[in-house]
Order: sequence, then structure tokens, then C-alpha cells
Amino acid sequence: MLSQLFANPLMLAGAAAIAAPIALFLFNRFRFQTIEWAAQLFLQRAFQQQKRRLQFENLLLLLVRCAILIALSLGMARCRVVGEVAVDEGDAARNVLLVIDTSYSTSYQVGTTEDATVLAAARRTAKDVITALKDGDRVNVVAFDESVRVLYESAPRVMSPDAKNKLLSDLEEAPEMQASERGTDLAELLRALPRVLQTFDQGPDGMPPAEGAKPKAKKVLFLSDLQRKGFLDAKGQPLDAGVARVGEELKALAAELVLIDCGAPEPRNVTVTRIETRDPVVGRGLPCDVEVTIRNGSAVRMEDLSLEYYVNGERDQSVTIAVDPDQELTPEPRRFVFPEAGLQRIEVRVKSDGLQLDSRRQLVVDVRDEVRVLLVDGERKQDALSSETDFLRKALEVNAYGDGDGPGLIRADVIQETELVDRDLSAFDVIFLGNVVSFDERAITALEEYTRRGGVVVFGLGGLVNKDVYNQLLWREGMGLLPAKLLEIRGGTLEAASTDPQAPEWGLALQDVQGHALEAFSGDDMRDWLRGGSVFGYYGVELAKGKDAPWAPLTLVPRSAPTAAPGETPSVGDPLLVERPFGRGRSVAWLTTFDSHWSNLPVYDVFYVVFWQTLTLDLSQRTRPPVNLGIGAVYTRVLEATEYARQVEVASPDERIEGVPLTKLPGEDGYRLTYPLAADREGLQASGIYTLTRKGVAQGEDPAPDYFAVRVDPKEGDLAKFSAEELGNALKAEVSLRRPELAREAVQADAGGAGSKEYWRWFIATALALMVFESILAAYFGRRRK
Amino acid sequence: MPPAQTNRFLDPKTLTKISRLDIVARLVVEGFVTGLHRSPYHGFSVEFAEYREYVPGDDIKHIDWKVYGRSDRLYIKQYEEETNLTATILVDGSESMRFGSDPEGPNKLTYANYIAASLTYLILRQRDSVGLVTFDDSIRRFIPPGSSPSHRNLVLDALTQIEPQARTGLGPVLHTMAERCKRKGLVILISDLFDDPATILAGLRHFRHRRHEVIVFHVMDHAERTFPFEQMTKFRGLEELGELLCDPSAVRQAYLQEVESFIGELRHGCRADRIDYVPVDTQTPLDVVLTSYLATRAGMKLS
Repeated sequence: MLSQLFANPLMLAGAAAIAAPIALFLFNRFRFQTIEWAAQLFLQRAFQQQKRRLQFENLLLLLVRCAILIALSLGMARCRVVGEVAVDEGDAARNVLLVIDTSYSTSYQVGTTEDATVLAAARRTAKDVITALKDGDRVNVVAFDESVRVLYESAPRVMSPDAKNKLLSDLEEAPEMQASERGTDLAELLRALPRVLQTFDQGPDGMPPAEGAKPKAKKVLFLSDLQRKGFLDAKGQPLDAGVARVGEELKALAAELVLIDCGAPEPRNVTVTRIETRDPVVGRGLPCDVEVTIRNGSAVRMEDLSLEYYVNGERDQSVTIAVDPDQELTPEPRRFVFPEAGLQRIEVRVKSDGLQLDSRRQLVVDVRDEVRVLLVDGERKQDALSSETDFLRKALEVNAYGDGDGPGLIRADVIQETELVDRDLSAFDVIFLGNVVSFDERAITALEEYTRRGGVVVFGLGGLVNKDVYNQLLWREGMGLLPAKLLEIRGGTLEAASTDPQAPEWGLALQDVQGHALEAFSGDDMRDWLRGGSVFGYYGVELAKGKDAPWAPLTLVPRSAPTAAPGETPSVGDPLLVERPFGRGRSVAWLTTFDSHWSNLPVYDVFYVVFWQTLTLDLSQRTRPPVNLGIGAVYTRVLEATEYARQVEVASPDERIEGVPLTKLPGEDGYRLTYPLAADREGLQASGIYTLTRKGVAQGEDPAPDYFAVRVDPKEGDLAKFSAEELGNALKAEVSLRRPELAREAVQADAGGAGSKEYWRWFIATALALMVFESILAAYFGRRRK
Repeated sequence: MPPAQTNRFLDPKTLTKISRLDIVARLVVEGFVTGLHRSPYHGFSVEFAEYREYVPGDDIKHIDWKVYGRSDRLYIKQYEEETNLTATILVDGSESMRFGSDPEGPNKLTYANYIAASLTYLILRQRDSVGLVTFDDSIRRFIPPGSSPSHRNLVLDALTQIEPQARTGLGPVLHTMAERCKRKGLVILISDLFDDPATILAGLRHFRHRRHEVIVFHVMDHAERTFPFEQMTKFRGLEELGELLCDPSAVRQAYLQEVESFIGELRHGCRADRIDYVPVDTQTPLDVVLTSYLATRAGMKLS
């Protein structure tokens, strides 16, 4: 019981010292000199006058002196109010869980030496705590970044000299304890803590504790740089409201959370948060604008930052910038022209601070010779701009790069549907099917095979389309290539509308475009492109529900409906564009005509050029292997049988070379390349450029190396901290904060259980105040007596 | 004896080292008189009696220059006294007079004896007569006034034989002595006066009624005036006043107020009755005592 109420119950013995002033008082009563005194009469009179006052003063001083000793004793015994959870008093051993942050922000250099990082400080602190533990104490260690790794999964270690040495060694050498390049997921850690803490209450055989058994008091020492980004919002509220439940669980487990701030007091950090090409596809010999965004996460303005661009490992350009505190800066894009097609590597570096990992960011650019599209025209006519795909072809072939001279990136071939089966569809990135009446089975099979292997098919509808045939051959109750089931035609033609003011007319509205090419139109400057064009006729569709639901980023809203102001959510109408994956490719339906029969979009300013080039280039790129990945991702691509290679190797940024086996695709004539291997669930762990080489390919010469970039999470570069109070509020539990050098004190005393509060500071302060009071009283009484 | 050497005998601490009271008295008086030089208090009569050889300290106006011219030696003319003074010294021999805080210094009784002896010596030296009364709660011994040289020894012997043991009872003693001393004279009371002030003043007033000149030497120990004790002390009262254990610092202020009040009452009462009240600390040099006596003596001559 005493150990619950007092962290150092032995110090309570000090309370016995209150006997000292009493004893001293009594001792003085019996320790006196005796003298014969003649003027006794005067003395007796004086004493009678002062008797009551003297008794009061002496009693008051005695009480104050006793109170000083009691307060000192309670303070040194570290008196506390016990939490709501009754703890197992029989457990004399201490239970300590060390939680160590290994996210890449802990690579921040806090000193000049190489090992003076936040993580090194956390390790030192952990070792300090472990060294201070006694034999019999139980310890476990958890490392976390975006994932949680428990050092001793089965049970905490019981301290003995050998176990202590092993633990100290593991802290340095265990793979779980190494610095990672991942971000931080504090909510994930908090959710995992109760499971780890429960192991402290288990029996030696790992059996759960008996029902009704009280939990052992536990201390959780959280050694981190206390990053708030990704855990708390700007108002200090947790982004994951579920963590409040964790607080309850910690209380029930009698666990007390102590934060140890191992981070720099005022960290300075500049992060390269973004590097992108402005255009979705980069063409050989065409201008490529590269945009970079820099964030200053410091509290001071960062001047004279040198931003350096490297192309394929060679320094290319540099620019000097300054970034205001807590602000982002996107300098003027830098223009590059790549004379060769293939994967090109760009890296941007900013030299500034103690955290290098986020001060450089890589980008692999897929430079294309051309983007080939096949336009299957279902309504071919001789007159200019009268065929179904004429407007579309013109829009796609416009050179949208640079000054517009010369051919653009997209090359379009136009055929009729009857020629479809004779074409090698794999040569095309995107196939447009414009108002095609019907398809024979071979064509449908070819299109489906093409799409499954990563191609993109875009259906454009029109008056020639027979919905029943389409639904039967291409929709096939969701199993076919058509992304939605066609219903009836709604509205009429542009020609009819031009003579009938009452004719229905629809405008375009963006819906969920996040991650879609049409996201480019969500900005204020691009939104206007969507306002002027009108659709007068379209096919209604029935969309699948649930996980098979297609993407409908662009919808039609009646012109009679009020137009959504910028920033407002527009009303949801019938879809105009429907998109869904099919195999490794994508299937898209444009539910009106490609020509101007059902809409004025082809003739509305340059909308058609911007819209279809953006969409086509994105679709053509989307189905290609991703080459810019995040930490923890897995690089995967499919190799055709002709691309098979006997030897496939990946060289990581640290120049470690690893062979990669190819896996035969079931039912297909192709192979899957996965790196790292599927068994490595952690994914790619180092940032930088990876090089993929294939040797001994099935056909032709060995290809040039491929590249892919792995980038760190830029949010991890924001080193702003949360406070113990904020974490306490989020968990609705008591959380204290200590400096690293005082961490071992946190476990010196027995844990008091969740929610317990220590009041020793108040008692020490009270004792000091009483000492001052006693001195004043004694001086006052003494002066009066003199 | 040079003045510097004789004056040190006015220090009570020095005198305690001399056991014989007659030597003490002589040293005090000789030292005091010698140190006076040009004192206005000479106590000499106007009727010529004899010549005496000049000693340093004698007033040079009494040198007989004619004799000097004849013999080259300095002689002082001495005169017969004009009137014969009768002085009665009352010395308190109660138990409270036994108190002395300084082991190296005199207690109150010893100091009172120094005063009495010195005054006796001085008075007899001036050829006046002196009597002695020792008392506590009653008169223990009465020596009628006399002026013969052997009378001095009688007085001094009586002083050395005082045994302080009983309580102080000043009132009856003073009244009794006032009745006994019929001839107008000088009454010198030497006591700590630890009795009821009203009773004491009534007794003294009785002397004044009999046209006596009265000098009261109120002898108190230095500790009784300053109460310098710090540590816890049990005060065992003399004259059967019981015991009291207390922290001296806690009662010091009140005690000193009591003492001041007591002294103040006595001083005020004495002044009202034209009685010379001389508060005497046992650390006070004895010239204070003798000066007070001579002042009173001068006053008598003027009156």
C-alpha cells in the first residue's frame, strides 16, 4: 500500500524526525542552569504577564517546525495520488517498456560528430535507463516509425547481468533498432502499445493473467523527437480519434507514459517536399519543366539556400533561394530537354541543415519518343472535320510544348472498325473507339487482350451506337470491357438545340478527381475551361456499386442548375466520363460524341486540346510501371515473354546489388518482376535511385538499365513537436515529460499506476515556504524578546 | 601613592581581592581624596588645629606660605571642625544581599560593606561621628555613633560579621531607627530595597520628619539590572520566594520593565521627600558613592 502512495516509502522514516523538535523542546526543558536569584519577585511578575503569549509562540513554532519535517518527508518519499487502477502491490520488480523512435527524422544531427543524432541520444538514454535497473526488473523495447517492431515479441526480458548485457548489445545491433528512412505513425504505435504491455502481466509461460488479477505497474518511456505532424492537427486534436481509447487501455494496464524529448531544442530543417514535371509525359527533345517545392520547417528564415539540380548524376543547374519560417516555396520551374528517350534521373539537393535525408529528392522521368494512339472512327466521312474522330485527332496532334512548332508528342492513326483485327494493338498507348456501331468477336477479344496487358481503351458514344449490342458484347454484366452499362440517350443534338431554346443543355462538373488527370482542372485557372462548353446529348449509364464501382470524375449538370462557385462542391449529375481498370490496363467511356454532334466541346476554344491531351497522356503513362515510389513501396512490373531475361539485378542507392527472380504470370505469356521480394513485407527501405539491369533477354540485345526512384515521406521533415499536455489530452491520460538526462529517475521510483499524480514538488515547496515562515516567526519572536 | 595607582582601588573587582575591610576603606578614601585635586568638597573646618605636611592632591590654597618661606617645606593648615556631624549607616543584611552574578566581583552585601566602610573611614577622617545598624527583617546590630579611632574598628568588625539569611523587612527597621535617632544627622541606607516601595518610602519619610538628611544607596547587581541570561534557567529565589524555570529571553523585556518601574517609584518617592537616591550597580566604581556623600554633606553645610 505504501509503495502505491509513495514512490520512495523508505523516506517516510524521515517523518519520524518530527519527534526531533518535540524532543528538543523537552530536552531544553530539562537542560537548564540553576542560579540563586534575588530579584525573584520581579521575575515572577514578568513571567505571569508573558505566560500565555510565550506558550502560544512556543506552540506555534513547534507546530511549524513539525510541519516542515512532515512536508520534507512526504516530498522526499514522493507522495502521490494513486490512479484509478489498483496495481499488483506484490510486484516489487519494475516493469519498463522503452519505446524508441527510429523514423528518419531521428537522423537529425544534434551535434557535430557523426553519431550525434537524435536516435543516438535516444539509444544512450535507453542504455542509461537499462543500466540503472536492478536484477529482476522486466524490460522490453519497441522500435517504431511507420511500423511497430517489438524487440522481444514473446515476453519482456527479466534483468540479470547477462540479460542486461544482451539488451544493451541488442539496442545497438538488432535490425529492429536501426535508423530507418520511414516516416512516423504515432497512432499505429499507440494502438500497438496495449498488446505489448499485456505481456508484462503474463505468467512466465506466456499464459494470460488470472481473471481479476491486478495489473503490474508499468512505465512506458517514449524516446523520440516528438513530431506532431501526422498525429495532431493544427489545433492539437489527434487526426486519429481512436487513440483516445488507447489512453483508457493504458490506464487499465496501470501504465504510465513518460515522454523523453531526445530531439534538438530548436531544430532547423528544410525539406524538398515535391519534385515533378509539369506535364504528365515528357517527350524526347521536347522541353520538360521541373517543379520543386521547398518547405522551411524552422522558426527562422533560411537564407542563401543553394538548390542544385543533378541530371543522370551530373550537376546541371543551381539556384539560390530563401524560405520564410514555416512556409513553402516553389521556385520558377527549371527547364530541361532530354535528347534521348528512356528513363532519366533528376535529383534536387538543398544544402542547409542537420537532416540530410529530406534535403534531396529524386525523380525518374520516363522520356518518350512519342505517344501513339489509334482512333477507330465509326462514322468516317470525306469532308473535313465531319468524321467522328476528326476533332479528336486534331486536338491530340497539336504540339502543346514550347512554342508549338513541329510535331507534338502524340501520333494518331485513324482506322475503321473493320481494320481493327489486322492491327498490332500493342504498338499503341491508347485506342479511341468513336461511335462504332458494333464489333466482331475477334476485335473484342483483341481489344480485351490489349487492355489486360496494360493498354487503354476509350469508348466514345454517339447516334450509331446500339446500346443493346454494346451491353451484350462489351458490358457483359460487368465482365466486359465497357466500364458501365448503357441506358438510353438523353437530350438531343447540337443542331437541334441551336433552333430550340428549350432544348436541354448540360455543363461539366468535376467530382472526385484526386489522383486523376482531371485534377489539373480543379485549380482556379483551369476551372474556367469547364464552364463554357455544353453537352446536349449523352448516354445515360448504370454504374456498378461496391468495389467494382468505376471512377466518374466528370459529370453533367443541367444548365438550369446554379453553377457551383469556386470552392463549392458542384451538384452531382450523370457521368460524362467513366473509368475503371481492366486487367493491367484501363477502360474509359466518354458518354457523348467525339465530334460536335452532341456537344460544342470540340469547338469551344482550346478546351478540347487541353482536355484530351491531358487525359490521353495521363492514361498512356498510368499503365506504365511506376518509377517514382515512396519508402515502403514495392517496385513491380510485368515483362512480356520477349522481354524475359536470364539475369535481372537491382542495384540499390547504397550500391548493394541483388538478383531478382522473375515469376511466370498464371495464364499469361509474361513474367512479373517484384522488388524487393514478396517475403520482404517492409518494402523498399532506402531512398535514392535504384538501377534495374536485365541481361540475356529473350529477343534482341540487352536493354539499357531501367531506373526507379524511392523518396522519403516529406511530412517527416516537419520537426515541430507536440507537448506532453497535448498527448495527454489526446489520450485522456496522464503524460509527463522529462529531459533525457533525467530519464533514469523516471524508473528509479516504482510506478504508481495509470493516472497517478506525484505531488512531491508541492511538498518540497511547502517545506521551503514553511522554513521561511519559521525564520520570520523566530526572528520576530526573538527580536521582541530581546 | 600616585593617583593612578590609588584610583584602581575604586574598582569593586579589585577591592574583592583585599580581604581586610579597613584596608579597603582606607584605600578607597585615600585614593578618592587624593584624586580629587581641586574638588570643591573639602569638608574642612575654619578653626585652625595643626599643620600637616602637604601631599599631592591637597588644595594649594591651604598651604601656609609663611611657613614655606621660613622652612622651605610645604605645610597645610588644618582646622577644627565647625559642627559635629552624626551619621548613621544602615546596612541591609538580608538574604537577597547575598546575590552576586560575577564570581570575581563583589556580591551586593560585600559592595554594601565597601560603601559603609569607606563612608565610615571618610566620616571619621573628618572627625565626625558615625554609627552602624545592620538589619534584615529586624535590626540585628546597632552601634551608636562614635568618633574615636577605635570606633572605626568596631564598625568594620560589625560589617564583616553580617550573615545574610532572613527576608528583607525595611519598613519596621526604618521606623524603629527613626525613633531611636533623635539627634539631627545624616542617615545612610545601603540596601537592595527588595521590599514594598511604599513601606520603604514611609520609613524614609519618617527620618525626614525627624529632620535627618537621608542618602539611599540602592545596591543592585549588574545582572539584576540587565538580566543577561540566554539559556533555559531555573531561578531559585532567595528569601524563600520559590523557584521559576523559564526562557530568560522570553521574559527579559517584562522583567526589565518591572525593575524600571520599581526603581522609578523609589526615585520619584525619594525626590519628593528630598532624599538622595543613589542607584548603585555592583560594577560601579566607589567614587560615585563617595561623591554622592560629599554632595549631601556640602548641602548640609549650606543649609
